[in-house]
Amino acid sequence: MLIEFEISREVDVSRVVCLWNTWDHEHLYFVHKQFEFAKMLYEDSHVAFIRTRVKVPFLPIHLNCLHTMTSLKNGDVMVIDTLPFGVLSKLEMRYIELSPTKTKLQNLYSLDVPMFFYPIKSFIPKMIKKWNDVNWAEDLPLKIRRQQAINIGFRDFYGKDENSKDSRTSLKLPLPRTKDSILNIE
Amino acid sequence: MKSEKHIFEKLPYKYMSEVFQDEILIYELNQTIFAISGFCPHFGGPLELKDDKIHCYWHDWDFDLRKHNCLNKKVNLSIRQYKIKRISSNEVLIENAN
Repeated sequence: MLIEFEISREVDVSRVVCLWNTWDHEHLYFVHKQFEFAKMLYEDSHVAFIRTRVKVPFLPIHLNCLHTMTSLKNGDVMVIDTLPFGVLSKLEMRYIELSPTKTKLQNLYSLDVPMFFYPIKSFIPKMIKKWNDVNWAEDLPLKIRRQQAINIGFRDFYGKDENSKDSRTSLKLPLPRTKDSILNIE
Repeated sequence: MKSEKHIFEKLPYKYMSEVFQDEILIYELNQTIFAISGFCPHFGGPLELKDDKIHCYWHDWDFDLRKHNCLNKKVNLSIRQYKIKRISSNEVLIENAN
């Protein structure tokens, strides 16, 4: 059974800021409290495979997940998650630049769920939308702050750089992490 | 050298400086006043005073209140510092440190 729906929003930051936030996997664990565990299995300049355990908001359910994130040719992101109970989730995250400081985020969900979920078919999109609301609210201050950082000439692992007047226009993946990052597998 | 005077209400105090094009965090520790960038040098998160450290909640980075070096990650990074001099009880002069 296929469940398809879309969640779209606009935000007053650049497209690259939105992508920066998406590919900053480490903040999942510290900012989004529903992530109880996050380990990077593999990443390179195009993909990231992350094992996570998340608490489903509003329900006493904890899920072990495998997120596979792919940077598409145009920079948009495809996330395919394998979830418990045979659920496969495909999420296409489109980042549409409306202006240099305004971006539309279009999330296209396609869930392949077993038939025994049929009785709660209409509930699933509502639950994910509520989850998305929580994530959006937690992420919004980060996105605005990242835009401010770019505006002052911020450089990762350095801080404000007097010599850098360039506002970041592209993202180099994977983002750098410390050797003792929470994402690293010991 | 860039400099600016700034009036604050109470410490710690944070504001966006047009002169330095930076967010400035001013705080006092044992009668010594400090001015640092409010941007975490890691990814630009907001620095706050918490539990006798300077903390960024984005990725749980902690910094020393005096030396401003990172305390809890395997990295040699410090917060950008500014020279600061108290002019009156609620006014300071801030200058570039280098």
